[in-house]
Amino acid sequence: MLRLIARLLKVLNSESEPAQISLAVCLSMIVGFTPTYSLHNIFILLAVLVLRVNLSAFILGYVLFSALAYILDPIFNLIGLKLLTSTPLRGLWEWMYSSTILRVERFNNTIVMGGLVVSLLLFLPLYKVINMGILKYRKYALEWIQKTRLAKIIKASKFFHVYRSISRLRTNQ
Amino acid sequence: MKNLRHWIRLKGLAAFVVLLIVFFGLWYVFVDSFIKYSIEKLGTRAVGAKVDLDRANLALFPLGISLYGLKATNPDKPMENAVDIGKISFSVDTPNLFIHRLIIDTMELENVRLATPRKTSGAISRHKKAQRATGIKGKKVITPGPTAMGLLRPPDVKQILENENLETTRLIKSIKSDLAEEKRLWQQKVKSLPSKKKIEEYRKRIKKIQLSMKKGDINNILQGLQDVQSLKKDINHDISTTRKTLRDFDMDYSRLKSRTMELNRAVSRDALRLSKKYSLSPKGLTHITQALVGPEVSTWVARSIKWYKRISPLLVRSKKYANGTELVKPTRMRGIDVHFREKNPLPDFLIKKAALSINTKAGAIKGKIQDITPDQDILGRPLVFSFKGSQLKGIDYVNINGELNHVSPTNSVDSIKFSIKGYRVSEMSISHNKNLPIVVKRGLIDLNGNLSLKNGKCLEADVISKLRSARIETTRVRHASLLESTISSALSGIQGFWIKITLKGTLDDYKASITSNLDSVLASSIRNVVAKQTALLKRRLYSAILNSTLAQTQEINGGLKDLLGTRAIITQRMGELASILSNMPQSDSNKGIGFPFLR
Repeated sequence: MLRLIARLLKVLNSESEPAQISLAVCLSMIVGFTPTYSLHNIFILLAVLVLRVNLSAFILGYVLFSALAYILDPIFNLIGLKLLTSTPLRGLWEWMYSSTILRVERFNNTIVMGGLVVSLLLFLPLYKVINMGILKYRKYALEWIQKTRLAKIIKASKFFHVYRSISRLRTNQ
Repeated sequence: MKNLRHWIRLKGLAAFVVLLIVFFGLWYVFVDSFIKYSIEKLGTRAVGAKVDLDRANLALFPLGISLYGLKATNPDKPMENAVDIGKISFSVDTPNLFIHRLIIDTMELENVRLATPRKTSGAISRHKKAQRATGIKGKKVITPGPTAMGLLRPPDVKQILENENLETTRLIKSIKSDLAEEKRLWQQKVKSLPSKKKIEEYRKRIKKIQLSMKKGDINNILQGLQDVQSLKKDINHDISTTRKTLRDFDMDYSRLKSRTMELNRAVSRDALRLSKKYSLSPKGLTHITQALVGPEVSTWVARSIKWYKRISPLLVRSKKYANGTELVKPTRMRGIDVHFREKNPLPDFLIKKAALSINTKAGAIKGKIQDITPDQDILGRPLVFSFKGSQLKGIDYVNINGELNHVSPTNSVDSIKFSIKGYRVSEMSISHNKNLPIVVKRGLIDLNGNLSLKNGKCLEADVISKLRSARIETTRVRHASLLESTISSALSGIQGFWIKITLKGTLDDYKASITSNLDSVLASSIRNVVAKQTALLKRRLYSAILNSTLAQTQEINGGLKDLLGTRAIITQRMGELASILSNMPQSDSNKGIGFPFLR
């Protein structure tokens, strides 16, 4: 855990582009909010591995959003149920239901539907917010944070040593 | 291009492929163990006793599973397997499996054996048993007749009276309550009669009139005459009221008295009714076969119902609907699967055909079961099964056909029809009554039956068993009753008989009637014995009921006696009023005015 947090900080402070970090977090949101063994998550995993998105950010995001999903599941369930039982959309669902591939996706499960719809709706706004956040952080907060007493304590801690060793490893690579 | 390379990581694709290979490799290595574990766990939960599987084998091309050595323990006999299946093999419809549908075209069950012994106990802990969702509630084993075995022996009178609801007891209770109420009412009515004080006042008024008229003044005499008339009127009114009260009392009393007299008749009626119930009917002797084979039939019916209740939850799945679409399995944190209308709907689980071969001592019985699914309403077809066996060792043929029709869950019909012909028996015990052991030394049995169950409730069944070319042996038992000995000797000469078992009612509360030509065959031999036994039982019951209700009857008689005290009070008051009236001055105009005090 210590290594993972150190890696994230490294990521945030590294030359990794904000877009790569933001995209990783947004993709992790989809995986985190929907049941892990869903068909679309295989494609997300493929995308995460093939696209140059930040893996540490993805893993940390997945842990965070999965934990959040435990709290939000009842809401996803409600949203999914509402959508799947809505009369105007019934024709669409019936068409999708007759397709084997879409059935494998388990779109007819309320949590899958609710989680997927919520994460897709939040995808772009979250991407923009995180992107902007990272830029602001690097521009204003990074220097100031490094000067604080807390940062100094952290620098003297074991955690920071781990962080430094990871940093060096990366630099050597 | 450079921009694209900035975003694409080709090594990632390789990592993805490696991940997939590792995942499926691990899955393939452990899937057999997983299948074995799942079948044992789910099977144990469903049966309520241990289910063991020797091994499972998954084949990928074509996708199929083979299960070896499946053994399901009989929950009632933990050291016995209810069923032991050598091999189960089936192929799975792969595309449907991806959408969580297990569709099996043909399942083959080889070397199926029933009731095989176990090396270790297959019982599970109570806690696990409680988790089992079989829906068996309020288990009730009902014997076919109230007195089955007792019919053959003089029953215990004390036990009969403890178990039965007597008309005598009800009547006593009712009379006692009426008597108490009447007592209360008459105590109130007596209070409303002319009191002693009032009678004394009447006397004072007479004296006053006498004194006033003695003065000789004409005005006083006239006034006195008027007072005499008024007094007479008052007394007559009181006498009439008291007389009416007496009449009412006599009516109430005689009603209570006649109800008390009815007690004796109630005792006779109770004795007669119970002696008939707990004896073989002298006229029809209809209970005799029931007494002989009833307990065996009861055990078999109870066992069959128990197994049906275990299987029935697998036939129908409870469903929920919202906005016309079906919702399946609401699970916490896993959401709800919403099912939509399909062009060619199929259930989530379906075995289109299962072919099995049951190995019995007599040989192999081949069978097939079609359309096994908990969603018959989606499939639109019922589960159909048939088993056939011919040229078996000791049986001419076996034919069993049935249908479990839950296509319309609210109007389900389960039916089974069976026919077994030429079942050779030897040393078969048909009565386990220790005082009347009946053994068929040799014979042939033909068995035909129809059973149906509508809506999981209304049970109807007819089973006819014919025994032919038989030699029946009965052993004379030292402590056998006269009736048992008589039946025993009468049965020895019989070469064949039929028994018809009819069940009607619900699964938890059914009535079984067992008839046989044995009843008429035996009737002539045992009629006199039965009549004597019934008469004796009636006398014993009569005196036992009388004795048990003696104290209460005496209490009622005492209460009636007490009530008679009220009559004495009423009569006394009426006498006193009449006496006053007879001693009053006469004012009859026809006879002239006569005053006793002036004579």
